[in-house]
Amino acid sequence: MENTKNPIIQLNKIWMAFNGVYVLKDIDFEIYPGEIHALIGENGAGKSTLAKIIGGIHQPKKGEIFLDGKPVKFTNPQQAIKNKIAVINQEPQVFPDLSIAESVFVNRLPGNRITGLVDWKKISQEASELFSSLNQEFDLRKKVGKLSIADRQMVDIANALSQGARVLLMDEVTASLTSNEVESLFKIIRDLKAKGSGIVFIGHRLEEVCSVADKVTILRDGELVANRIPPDTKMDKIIYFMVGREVKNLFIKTKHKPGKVLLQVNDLCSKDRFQHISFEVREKEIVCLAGLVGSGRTEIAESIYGIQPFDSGTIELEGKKINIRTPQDAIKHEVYYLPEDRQAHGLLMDWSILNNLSLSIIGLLAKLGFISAKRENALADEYISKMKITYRTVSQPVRFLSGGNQQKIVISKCLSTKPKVMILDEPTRGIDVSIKAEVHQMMNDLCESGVGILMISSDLPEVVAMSDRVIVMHEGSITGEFQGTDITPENIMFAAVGQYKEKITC
Amino acid sequence: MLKKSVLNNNKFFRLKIFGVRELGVVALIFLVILIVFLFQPQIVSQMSIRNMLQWFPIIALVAMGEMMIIITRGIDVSVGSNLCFSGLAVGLIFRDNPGFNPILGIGLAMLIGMGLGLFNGSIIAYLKIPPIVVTLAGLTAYRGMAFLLANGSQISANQIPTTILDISRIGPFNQNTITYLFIFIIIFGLITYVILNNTRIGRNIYVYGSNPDAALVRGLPIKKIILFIYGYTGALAGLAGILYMSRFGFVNPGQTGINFEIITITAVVLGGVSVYGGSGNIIGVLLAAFFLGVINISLSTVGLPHLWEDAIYGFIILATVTVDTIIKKFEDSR
Repeated sequence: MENTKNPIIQLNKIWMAFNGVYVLKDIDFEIYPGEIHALIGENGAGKSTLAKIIGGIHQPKKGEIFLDGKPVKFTNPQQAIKNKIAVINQEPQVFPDLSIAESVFVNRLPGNRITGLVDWKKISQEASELFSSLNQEFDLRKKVGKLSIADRQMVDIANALSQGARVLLMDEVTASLTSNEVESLFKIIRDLKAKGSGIVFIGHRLEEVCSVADKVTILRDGELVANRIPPDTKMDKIIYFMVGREVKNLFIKTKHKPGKVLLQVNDLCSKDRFQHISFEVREKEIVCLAGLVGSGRTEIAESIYGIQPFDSGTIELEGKKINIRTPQDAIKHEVYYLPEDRQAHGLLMDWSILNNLSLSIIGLLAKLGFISAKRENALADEYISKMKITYRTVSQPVRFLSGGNQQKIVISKCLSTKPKVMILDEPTRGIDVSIKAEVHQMMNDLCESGVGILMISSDLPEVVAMSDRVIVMHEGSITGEFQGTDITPENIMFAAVGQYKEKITC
Repeated sequence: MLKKSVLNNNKFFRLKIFGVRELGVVALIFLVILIVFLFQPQIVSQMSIRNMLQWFPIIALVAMGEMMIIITRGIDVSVGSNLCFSGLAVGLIFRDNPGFNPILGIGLAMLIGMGLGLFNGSIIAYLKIPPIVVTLAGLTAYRGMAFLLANGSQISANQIPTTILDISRIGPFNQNTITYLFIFIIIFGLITYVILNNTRIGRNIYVYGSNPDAALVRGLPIKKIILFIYGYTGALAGLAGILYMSRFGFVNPGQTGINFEIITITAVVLGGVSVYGGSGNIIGVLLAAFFLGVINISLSTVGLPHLWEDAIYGFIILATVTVDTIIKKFEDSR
């Protein structure tokens, strides 16, 4: 069945950048009718960005898109929808206040031929037929807000299917589905394929992906490293494609002898998010939580820091059980969390460098309830020189700084609290190489001073270079723990996709 | 294999007209009447149907539009000033042109109101300025325009066409309990009900309010939705200007429609429209408007000055949103 047909969608030399950092480089990609095309790669390899470009959510910087051989430019998702291109995201886009049936037809409610009024009878009938064909049993009057994530996902899928999508892009949709649900989803996908739809399936359970796909394409660091290879390619070859990059210019961490246990997490569970998580972080140690997006790493960090509650388990600090219900509690215990999304959680973008730096310890800077400008300036000077922050004036809003300098300020904020344990979530994402090395140097210095660091990172070279120990997560559970020479990209990726190396024989 | 649960039920999408919320408001109505009755038995005579049907319709009318706006997580605080400006503008036309067709006057007031509403809506839709800012500016600007337009005068009863005055005095039936004023509410209540439940634009209002980001991704015509709700509300405010003129026999920029937005929003919120967007239905809002009428009459029966009203409305808004939020948290945590 090799390409006797013409592609529905053809991407020609697509380049894409966010904030000056290229995330897709010179990508050629085709979607053929009647074909399931799997797209795989590490976190941040550019899979979702590619899907979003085809779905009209992002516009590429360079390159052309052809639909049925004609050049097209989608400036918004509506245009893609009109051309029967549907994108389904990992996070279902649902309307909690609507009934299931209405949600399915939300953007094209059928009208009565004579009155033009919404035809509820038709909606209920068609929705019920649609869900029957999906082999799903729902009370269609139920509000979507009352459904589980998996069921919401089904509603989202039903919506895309009901539009008779010619091209269906599924971005990690199976992450929250059970194996039965995945099976029925695959049946649907195969039916659609038989009817001539072109399907792009983005996934991270390699076995699952390879079982359904006709062709596999692999992205690494925004580049196409394997185009349309057969799905029965050996697993370790696929993993090699995903992670096998040249190692260059990497910071090599000085090894410190770990001291006493600082943070100890015992059997932490949170329904639907993570299960039975136990690990420890020692003095002068960098422990990395690795895994793919959605594996529960950030959720664990947020639970330790008191942003999200957990159901059972305990957290101990220096051997004493601590109760953390809010971030204030965590800071009181000298545990600090540096969130992944700097702009949303880490910084007040319109505030000055000075005010951002002093924010976390504003209480310490105050004299009789008034903030001492002298102390505030002294603090700012200390960190600006320590961190080599490039700036014009300290009153410059942080919005105008580069991503790397913003990250330095976020880290400085953490440091000003003099923490015992620091949790760094993707500390170098979106930062250019030179500043990355500085951030790594800072982490190294911190470690030396006795701080225990829990790092969450999707950047495998960084994980390998910086970690004393690596804990790998897959779908909310720990699937691997490595130290020393066992910390290799291959080992980590095998555990991250939910399998141990020994098991793979194909 | 079709699911039996769906196809056996012909009333599938018929909305539950009387939900828990509506029963709650009805209970409140009886509770207030009962309490007042214990102290002042003459509440029952004061509470004549005629009185009630005179009081709440103007609020209910504008609340029908305001509820659409609040469903989309927006707000319009300019309705009182809009009402005053539209009523005054048409009142001046009536004054200066004796014999001006009153039906035309009604249409004109609705057009003026709709114009002001669309102005608000287009700033909100195209410049993406928060509704509270835009309509707060409207609140003071439209009132100011009314003062300028009136130029120190006011419209009084002898300048208003009899047909207009009759709207709130007589009705289509022999006994004049059910006046045309009330008929207006029935008609617009039905129109609003059908818009909200049986038209695409109406359903889109709920969709947009329920998840604005997803609505954008799904390709919903968001600007059209915003223009529609503010335009519709403006038109209703314009009509309310005429009804106000009919009911009270005057239009005066210093008095007409003052604090009207607060009463309207109270009715909407008490009527079960979530301030978090996405839900609410018109029956609840109409009942809530009626309840505010009961409060109003109770105050005068008990002999409390009407100065109390504003404080009570504010309290009702706060209490309702507090209770709703607590219930929502409780439901989410289960």
